[in-house]
Formats: sequence, C-alpha cells, structure tokens
Amino acid sequence: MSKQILIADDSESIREVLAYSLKNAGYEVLMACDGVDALKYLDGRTVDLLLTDYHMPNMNGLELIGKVRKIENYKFIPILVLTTENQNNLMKEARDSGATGWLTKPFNTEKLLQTLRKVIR
Amino acid sequence: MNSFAEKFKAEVGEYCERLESGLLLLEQDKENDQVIDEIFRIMHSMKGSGGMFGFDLISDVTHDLESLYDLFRNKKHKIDSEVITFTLNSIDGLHHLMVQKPEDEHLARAEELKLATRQQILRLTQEEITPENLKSPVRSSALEQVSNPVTYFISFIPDEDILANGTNPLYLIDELHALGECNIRVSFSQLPALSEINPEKCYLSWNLFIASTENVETLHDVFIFVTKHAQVTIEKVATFNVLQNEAVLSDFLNAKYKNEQWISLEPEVQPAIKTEIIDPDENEEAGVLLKSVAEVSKNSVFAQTTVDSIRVDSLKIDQYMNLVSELITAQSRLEMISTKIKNPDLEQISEAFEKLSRQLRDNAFYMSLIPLQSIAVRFKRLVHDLSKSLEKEVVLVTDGMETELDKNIIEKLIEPILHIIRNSLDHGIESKSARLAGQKDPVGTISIKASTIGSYVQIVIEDDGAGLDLNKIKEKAISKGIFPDLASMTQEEIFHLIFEPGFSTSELITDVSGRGVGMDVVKRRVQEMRGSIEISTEKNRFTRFTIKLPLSLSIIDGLLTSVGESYYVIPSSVIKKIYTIKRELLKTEFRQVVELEGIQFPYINLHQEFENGNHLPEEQFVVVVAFDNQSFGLVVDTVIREYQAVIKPLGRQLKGQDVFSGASILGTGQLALVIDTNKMIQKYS
Repeated sequence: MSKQILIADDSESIREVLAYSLKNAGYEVLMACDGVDALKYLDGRTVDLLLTDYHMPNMNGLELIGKVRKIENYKFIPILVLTTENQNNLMKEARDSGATGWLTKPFNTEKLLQTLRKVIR
Repeated sequence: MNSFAEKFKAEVGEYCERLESGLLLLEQDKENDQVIDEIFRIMHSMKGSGGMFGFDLISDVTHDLESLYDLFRNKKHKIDSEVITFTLNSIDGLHHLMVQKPEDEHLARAEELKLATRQQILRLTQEEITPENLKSPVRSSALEQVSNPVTYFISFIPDEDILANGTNPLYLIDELHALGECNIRVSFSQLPALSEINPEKCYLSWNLFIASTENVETLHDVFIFVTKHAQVTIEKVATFNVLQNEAVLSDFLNAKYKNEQWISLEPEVQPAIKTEIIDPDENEEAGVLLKSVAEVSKNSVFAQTTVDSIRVDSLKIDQYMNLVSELITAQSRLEMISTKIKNPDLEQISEAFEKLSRQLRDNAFYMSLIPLQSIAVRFKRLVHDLSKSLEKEVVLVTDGMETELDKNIIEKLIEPILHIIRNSLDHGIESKSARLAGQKDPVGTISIKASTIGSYVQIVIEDDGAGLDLNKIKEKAISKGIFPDLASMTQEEIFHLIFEPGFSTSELITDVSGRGVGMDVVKRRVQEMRGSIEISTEKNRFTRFTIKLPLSLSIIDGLLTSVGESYYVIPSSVIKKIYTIKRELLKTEFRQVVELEGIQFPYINLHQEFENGNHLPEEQFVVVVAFDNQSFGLVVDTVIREYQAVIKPLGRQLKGQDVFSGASILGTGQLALVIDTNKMIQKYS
C-alpha cells in the first residue's frame, strides 16, 4: 500500500504543486488548508507523514505539531515543516516543538523527494 | 508547472484583496495585532510561493515588505497612515510584477518598490539599512562536485530520544548509502540488558566510512535535521577510495581511539593535509528571530473561512448552470409527454425527475451566488484613496454585504457602483470648509446598504452631501437643448435626466468623475441585468441611488399562463394570489379596476393588449402581483401550471422592448415569454 502524506498549507498553489510531485512519486496525498483542518484529517486516521506549512491562519504549523505529537498514534510519525530561507531559529524551534525536519522554499521535486527520503520510505 | 503558476497568480490576487481589506482595517485601528500578523503572514506566503513558481520579483518585493511589517509585528515600531498608504500602493505595484520572465521595466519597477520599502523602514528605524540585514532570498545553487571519490569517516551518535521527533536514524544511513560506497559499523556499546530496554529510545551509534564524490557539505546535509539531537563528526580519511583497504580503516579507528590526529592520505606520498573537522553548527547562519505567530482567532474580521470549501473555475460553474438549464428544458418535455401518454409508471418517473431537477437547479443556483462582501473592499479602497486625493474626509459605511447575488451580476455591478461612489466623492460630498459652513459633520458619509427583497436584491448607495441641484440640471438640460419639455416634467423626472447620455452637472470638470459620461452607462448596465435604478435627493442633505437587481439571470420559478395562442410566464416571486373571474366583472369602465374579496385594484387584461380583445373568453384568471407596495392584476386566459423557466435572451426583433425579460422554451418546443411585471405595469397602466 502506498504511503499516505497529509499536506497542511493555506496556499492552494503550494498544496497542489506538492500533491502533484508526491502523487507522481507514488504517495497518496491528503490536503488540509490550516492546522485546524489538518487535525480534523488526522482524527481517527493514521498517515505516514505530515508536511505542514509554518505560517497558517487559525493554527500555525508549530502549534499543529505540538497538538499532533500529543496524539498517541502520532508520537513517532515524521513531520516536516515548510519554511522559507533565513529562518534558522525557526528550524530549531520546529525541532523543539516536535518536527522531524523541514523543507525550505523554494524547492523542486528533486529536493522535495530527497528531503522526504530522510524521514520516510 | 504552468497551471500552478496560474493558480499562484489567482492566489496573489486573493492575497492582495485580503491585504487591502486588512490595511483598511488597520487604518481604523492601528493597534490591531491580529491584522498585522495576518498581513505579515500573507506577505510571507507570497514570498515563499513566489520563489516556488518562478515569480522572483514578487518574492523579492514581498521579502522587503515582510521585513517592514516585522517591525510592527515585533512591536518595535507603530504603524502609521503613511505606511498603510505606501503598502496599498505597493500592492498595486505587485500586480505589474506578476511575470516569470521579467524585462527591464519590471526589474526597474521592482527595484523602485524595494527601495521605497527600505526608505519606509529607514524612516521608522532611523537606521541605515545595509545589504546584510535586508538580504534578498538566497536561491539554491548547485554545490560544486568533486570528481574523484574521497573517503570520509562519519561518526553518528544519536541522542537517546532521537526517535521522539519521528526521526528514523536508519533512513539517514540509507541516505548516505545513496551518496557513495559505505563501510558501516554499528556500535552496541550503549545497549542495556533486554529487560531494561525502552523501545522508545535509541541506544545505537554508527561509525562509517564512505567513499563519495559529494563534498562534505552534502554529507552534513544528510544530518541537517538532527544536528541538535545527535553528535555528527565527519573527517576526511583519504583523498581517494580506501574502503577496500581494511588496514587503513583500522589504522584510522585506532588513531581515533587514541585521540591521535589523523592525516588524510594522498594517492602518492605527499605533504600532509590538515585534518578537516567540521562543526555542524558552522553551517547555520544566525537568522532572524521569528516569534510564534499569535493565533488568528475566528473573530478576525477577515479571517479566511475556506476550511470546507473548494475553488472551482467560474467557467465550470457557468457550464454547470447551462447544463442544468438544458436538463430542466428536457425535463419539461418529459413531463409533457408523460402527461400525454398517461402511463402511471412514466408519470411517476417524470414526477421524481421533476423534483430532482428542481433541487438540482436550486443547488446550482446557490452555488453560483457570492456575497457582495467579495467586492466591498474595492469600494472601501476607492473611498480611501480618492478622499485622500480630494482632501475630503469621508467614511464608507457598509451594511448587508453578506447579501448574495449571482456571480455574473456581481461582476457587472462593480463598475456602476464604483462610478456612483466616485461621483458622490467628487460632486456629492462637499469640501470640509463647505460642510462646516453648512453646519454639517465635517466628515462625510457614504453608505452602501444591501438587502434581499423577494427575488430581488436592493442596493442603496447614499451620500450625505450637497444633493442634486434641480435648477442646475434644468439649466443644463436647456443649454443642451435636448429636453425641451421641462415644464411638463415632474421633479423626479428631471433628476432622472442625469441618466441621459452626455449629461454633467459639475461646474469643474475634474479628473475624478470626468465629464459626466457614465451615469447613462450605469443605468444601461443595471438594465442589462434586468435591474432598475432610481434616484432621490434632497438639497444639502443627501443623494440616494437605489438599485434593484434580480438574484439570478438564468432560471426563475414562474407561472405558465396562456393568452390566446401564446404562452407567458409570470415570475412566482411577485405573485400574491390567483382568482378566476367571469368576463362581465371585467368590463372596462372609466378605469380598469376589479374588486375581489372586497379589495379594489387596477388590472391589465393581457388578452386586450396582445390579442385585440375580440374573443374574450367567458372566464379568465386574475393573477395578482405585487407592484411597489400595491397589488396589481394581470388578467390571462388560462393558468396552466407552475413552471421553471430557463430564461434565454430574446432575439433581435424583441430587443427594443423591456416588457419581456426573456423567453423560455416549453417542452412542446413552443415559446413562452417571460413577463417583467414591473415594466409591464408601468407601460400599460
């Protein structure tokens, strides 16, 4: 069975470009438009990876990660945060709040899949 | 990738609208942290996505804007009107930078915007902005590759709790595998007795040799996520592949064990090269401190509510509406045939089909409605910009912006309303001094109020300015010489002259509302949408435009009636009651009035109007419809049934009239004309 990835990003274009690349790479993709929405998706379901934007309305990425890590099923699920450059403190902060890693925008499919390989098979 | 770029462009449009409404809110409440956060967040998103889709200029400009708003977000500085106006202008500028292959003019424009942004930052901070602290986004560049494999030693000692963040160390080892030939040794030295193992902890560490053509940064990149949760050291063992040479590998490990310095081996015996130990921390530049964004709560006035919605191309909605209309036409044919055949099974199906298509129609109809809110920001923006340039203080009050209208109507409505507002700002609202002299509030008010009345939406645009000057309009009409019949006109009719082509009352022609071309266009536009526009005004008090529009342009519920050989549809929304009536009760007297249930009201006999009235049937139907606040009778020969009319535009022959708003094709293939009751009553009574 192909692995399921949940994308949480408020930007539709980013969601779509991620979904496009990931589907082509054989992943199954779910999409949420912010943290609150993502939590709804995760409820009662197990995805294999969460890919979340940092800045989102309603609930930002770090808050989302904090909440996700409290769900028993999601203690060890890899989580990647989407960031832009020049935010090294943010990356540390992301790690501290439970993220597995991050993906820096702009990225191409190659970089995306390469980053994914660090955390999921 | 192109469709993503299109999506991104549409998104930028949306972002800009949200920025505008946010900024306009800020103008009123400069301390609203939620809005500032939201603005910062939107700019950040634009920066990130811009880079993703090749809109580098957007990315660059929003990067600087983001830095500017960071000042307010971190409460280092307070936002002021100048910044707000500046940002609004910058947003306008962004639209011109939406290109993937910028030309010189775009580059120049972007530079200008960036410079202006920096000047704003400078103005606020009083600091010189150096290129360092306002660095543009760095684009990833291909790292140089080494052509021959070099042997490295990597020691990877994860913290015990590395698993907690979802990291799987084995994946990292795997990744190294992909970068070159590896010789891997796992250290179990920290592994406790089985009974003491905590499955959530990691007790293993790795020593490995890798012969890779990748440079040392790439190897470090493998561990980029775990720099704080593991000790990673990378050392060069040899400048060539020594993995097959076990003696060298154990020599190296021995040297490590004894804490001796290892000198990287060269293919030939060469002077020693210094050992290279790279501290992973060096790779991390000091970045901008970003505090966690405060939660944008639900009550944030312009919080996005797209959680359960999807975006559909408006073209697809139009196609869908069209198909639904076709379906309804097909359904009415089925109904007709099933009535003729009188097969109970078929009738049952036909009825079910009718019900379903009605639901589908309603569904499609509500799908294509969008709230006026979606365009309200344009009005606010106009008032904001124009009042500044006219040096008038004007507030815009909106009410009922949640009122929904057909998307097509909304789009066509923007220009007319903008025009009316422009007129109000320019000609209606007086200058501050004039208002003070007239003992009025120095701040002018323009209000836009929308509400749904039956199947119509009413939009009232009112300003508390000088009002229309009856005499000026008269003078103008005379000087133009086109309206010679002024004496017989009512005051209202004279005011309506402003809707005539080429009419202008302003003494000064300004570049704002121009030469008065426009009110005629406004009227035409509204009429094209089967709507109406009325004006009322009082000198020195107000000018009020009332626009009435149908909710939708394409499908209506109606009553199918016949007069003589022809069919007519009366919109259900205006029908109050239906009576049968004997011919003698309808005898035309001095006035056409009929009394039913003790109430008298005027009527129009369609048979007389359209069929010469020669062969009036013995019994007719009076369809009582609402007209303004009164009742009015439309007398038809027979009432056939309720009917969902899919309105098609009329052909050229009937274009000149406005009594009929369209035509609908019946199941039989015959035509039914859709009556615009208001227009018909005005014309024939």
